[in-house]
Amino acid sequence: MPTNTYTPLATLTLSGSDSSITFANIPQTYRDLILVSVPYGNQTNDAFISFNGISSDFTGVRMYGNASGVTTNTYADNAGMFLVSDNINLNVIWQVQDYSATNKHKSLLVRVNRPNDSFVSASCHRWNNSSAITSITITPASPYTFSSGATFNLYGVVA
Amino acid sequence: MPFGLGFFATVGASAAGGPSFDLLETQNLSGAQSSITFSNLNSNYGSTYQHLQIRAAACLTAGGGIDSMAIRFNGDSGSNYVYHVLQGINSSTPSSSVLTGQTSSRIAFITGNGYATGQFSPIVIDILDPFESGIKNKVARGFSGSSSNGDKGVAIHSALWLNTAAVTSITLLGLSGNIDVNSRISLYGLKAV
Repeated sequence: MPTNTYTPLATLTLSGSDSSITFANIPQTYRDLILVSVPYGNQTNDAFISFNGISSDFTGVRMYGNASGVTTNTYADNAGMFLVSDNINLNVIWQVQDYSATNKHKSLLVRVNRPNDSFVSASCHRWNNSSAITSITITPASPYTFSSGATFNLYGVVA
Repeated sequence: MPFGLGFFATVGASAAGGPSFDLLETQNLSGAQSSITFSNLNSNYGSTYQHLQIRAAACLTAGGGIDSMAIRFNGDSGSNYVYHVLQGINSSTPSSSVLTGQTSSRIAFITGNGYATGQFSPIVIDILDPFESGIKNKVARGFSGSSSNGDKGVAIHSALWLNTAAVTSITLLGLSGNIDVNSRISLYGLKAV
């Protein structure tokens, strides 16, 4: 029997500047998470991720292109997973597979489109931890902040 | 027509709204398998859904840090597939390649030897208009990666099946090993009006 899914779980729309955003108490009744965001901020820079308050044990690889060409980078930390832009015309979409499972590390696919500076990327990341994800925090590189108008929509997908 | 309106749709003019993205089936592997198949698709879902999506967290029993998953439609193992990939591996410059006349089409990167260390690849595959027949060859796209302890890579694949038949089955198979225990592969349907 088909089961409707892609269920909205939470929305954050910033009305002022914030040094971080957090989705807490994420329900464990879904299998995948999808985060659709417009991470508008006061600087174009990286943002850093923590799951369950833990910001270590991440690895990743990102393929990107901009006006200067194309590059692939690897990461041994939580860099390269999220970007903030001082131009609101961008989007960052995450897909976290099996976030509620406890028998595997958490793997992510990320797409970034930042047309203002001709940046587009596709990346894959892994959190080297088998715990279910109960909270997600995204923090722009210090001392920068998210700005009014930034939006973050979190969805759950059953399996 | 006073203006060049071209294609025009009035949102809400028909039975728009309501749930549109449904979980159809999931396979949670309790043992390694050389392939997995979703069957009877057109008969079960063809009248309800316009597109299909496969979402997976999966790995292979063998291979290196990065291996490949392939897709077949309707059990066709003839040389009727073409694939194209845009990929970034480790710190190399992103590259692309295309192969024609294949007996299956590569559709995703997948971690090899990942089970023991909990390393499963994230995979999302979209199959567009699978149940239309006689008009279009079938196209699928894959977004996937492997961020293993070994090689790391991310890829965007196109898979072309040179056949306009409605899709009745989808098979996913590992190229260098079996799809390993604890891999999870789910099939979703997306409606249209």
